Amino acid sequence: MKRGALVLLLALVLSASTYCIYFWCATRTAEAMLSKPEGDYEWLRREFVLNDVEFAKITQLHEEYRPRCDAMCRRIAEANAKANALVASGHEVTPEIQAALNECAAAQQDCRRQMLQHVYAVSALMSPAHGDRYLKMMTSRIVEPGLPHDSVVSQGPR
Amino acid sequence: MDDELKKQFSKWNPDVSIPPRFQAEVWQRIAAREAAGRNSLWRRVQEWILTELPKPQYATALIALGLTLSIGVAHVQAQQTNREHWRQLEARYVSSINPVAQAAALE
Repeated sequence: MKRGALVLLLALVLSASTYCIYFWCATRTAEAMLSKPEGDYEWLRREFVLNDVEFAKITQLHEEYRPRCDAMCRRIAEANAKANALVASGHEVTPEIQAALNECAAAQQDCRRQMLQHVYAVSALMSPAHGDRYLKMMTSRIVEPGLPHDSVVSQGPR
Repeated sequence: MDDELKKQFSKWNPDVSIPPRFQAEVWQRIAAREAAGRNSLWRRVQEWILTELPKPQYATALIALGLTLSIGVAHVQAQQTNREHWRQLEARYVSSINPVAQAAALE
């Protein structure tokens, strides 16, 4: 009985250890990317198979775009806050509320335009096939958020 | 009440005849139940672990099966986990270039 139970125990321990080691090895890359702040850039590099030159150019483009993006974010947030405050305090659509709503719409429209410019610029730095896929993916997620989310499927971790 | 009941029982003399070979049949049934217990699946597995599993060919086969299964399950689960991580990274990237989403997150 002892030897049989030992074999059984050994098989169980080996199987459990193999499971843990394999799972850890297979997921550690994505896990590490997720835990790093620059993991989204790494995702872009892997998802669109960017070479070092393309990746460096795109990273630079992103770094240039980031302050503008932050400023746009603040502008939208301020416009929304102003419109929300006016709407909450009023009981009818006053010219001030109309102007605040117009400002919200204008801010969002301007941001979408600049974002689209950035997306075009990034896609132009990629190979044509990957650039097309990037463009489709980003426009489906950002410019036309009403599209089904799986309309352009990422290729997954490699 | 108990005394009354005892009296009644002492008077009661049922006329029951025990069938022939009654005791032998009872023992046969007990033996059959024990034999069935020995042949149950769990008992057979236990016996197999006792007698056959220590043999190298069975031990090797069991370990190989365990390893194959654990790698298979780990592979499938790792793929699912990676897909989920990939979606999160994609969402993070999209959000990083999307001021509308960032503003919505601030509110």
